[in-house]
Amino acid sequence: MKIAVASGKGGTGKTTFSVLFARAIAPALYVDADVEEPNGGIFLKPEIVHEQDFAEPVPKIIPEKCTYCGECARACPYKAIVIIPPPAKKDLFFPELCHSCGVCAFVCPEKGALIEVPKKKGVVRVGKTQDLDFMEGILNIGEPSAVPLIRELKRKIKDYPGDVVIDAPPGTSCPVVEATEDADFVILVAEPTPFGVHDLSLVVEMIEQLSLPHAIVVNKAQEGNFIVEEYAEKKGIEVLYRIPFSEELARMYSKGNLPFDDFREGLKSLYERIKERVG
Amino acid sequence: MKIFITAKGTDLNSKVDPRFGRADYYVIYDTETGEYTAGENPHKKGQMAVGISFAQIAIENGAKVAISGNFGPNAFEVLRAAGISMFRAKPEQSIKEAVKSFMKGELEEFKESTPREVAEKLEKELK
Repeated sequence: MKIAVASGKGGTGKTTFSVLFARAIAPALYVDADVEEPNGGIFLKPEIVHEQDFAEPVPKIIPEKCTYCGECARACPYKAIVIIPPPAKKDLFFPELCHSCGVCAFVCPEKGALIEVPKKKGVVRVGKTQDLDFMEGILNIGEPSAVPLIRELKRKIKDYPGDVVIDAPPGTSCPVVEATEDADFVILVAEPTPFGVHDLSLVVEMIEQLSLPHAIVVNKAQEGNFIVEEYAEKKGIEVLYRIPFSEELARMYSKGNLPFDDFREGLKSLYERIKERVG
Repeated sequence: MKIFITAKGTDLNSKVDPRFGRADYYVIYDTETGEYTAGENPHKKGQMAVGISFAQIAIENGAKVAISGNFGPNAFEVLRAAGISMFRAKPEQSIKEAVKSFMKGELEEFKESTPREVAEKLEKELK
């Protein structure tokens, strides 16, 4: 079973919940798909056994063959190529704008004038911590899109025989869709504030569009505060679990530790409930 | 020689727009004929690569000089590659005054692009 953890708002406790949950249901695989700022490894402290570069093709212009016609620059939807026509005859490439879509190579009318060369955009690291398998993607700073690296992570976990917990990026944009769309179940971690509920409603809208079964976990839950539960009831979404607000937990978190044992039993029964729902 | 100037309006009495990529308009002034053309910056509200796209208008129109208040790093690189020299207009100058200052050699030439912090501060002030 693939379970994705998303939140809409950042800082609600997606990673806190994901690592507590993955630890509780191990043997399993934890995947940090928040590739722009992966931090699950800080808490799980896995031993990394394998690291692989993630590269994508980018254009390279061969000056001897290029006629500086500018077809590539005009076709580029991201304006990553600038061709300065004769007599200046110059080409400029802005790698931070390139999305590796390949249209430049496709439209180039001169054979061999524009070739595609691999460019490293990040790494995929694989490891293990006790009976929990670990994987994370780390995108290079400044890369325009997290989607291709998340797609690569998904290729790698496709045939994993056990349960997978996917720690998705925050927000509701393409990287979140990429990280969640193939999941069997999505857990939405929310915090009980008006802002938290607002952003939760955005990610619920996204998950409904994807038609994925989902439920809510409230993090930093406070006594007498049911703002998330009220929203959930209105929308008919099950609230699976409440992680109480705790200064002690925050203190541990700030040192890279979490009270895994305290949550093991509770999260195991949450897992059973999800299994029931997925069927 | 053609001069590409970022502008707040479409005539010679308009002020120079201190931003390059996100300028409202541009004026292209021909020093030989004294004539000019003007247009709206179509990339002004673009999400990315606005400086690069806007610089290409200067290149396509055969400008040899560009006058603005600031040039971002990408626009700077494109204009420099195209052999277009960049100059800083004095604060609040009109297009006409900036061209006159340039002709008299009074404008400072850009040797490097405007740092991002300065550009961001300017953008805030203009809002």
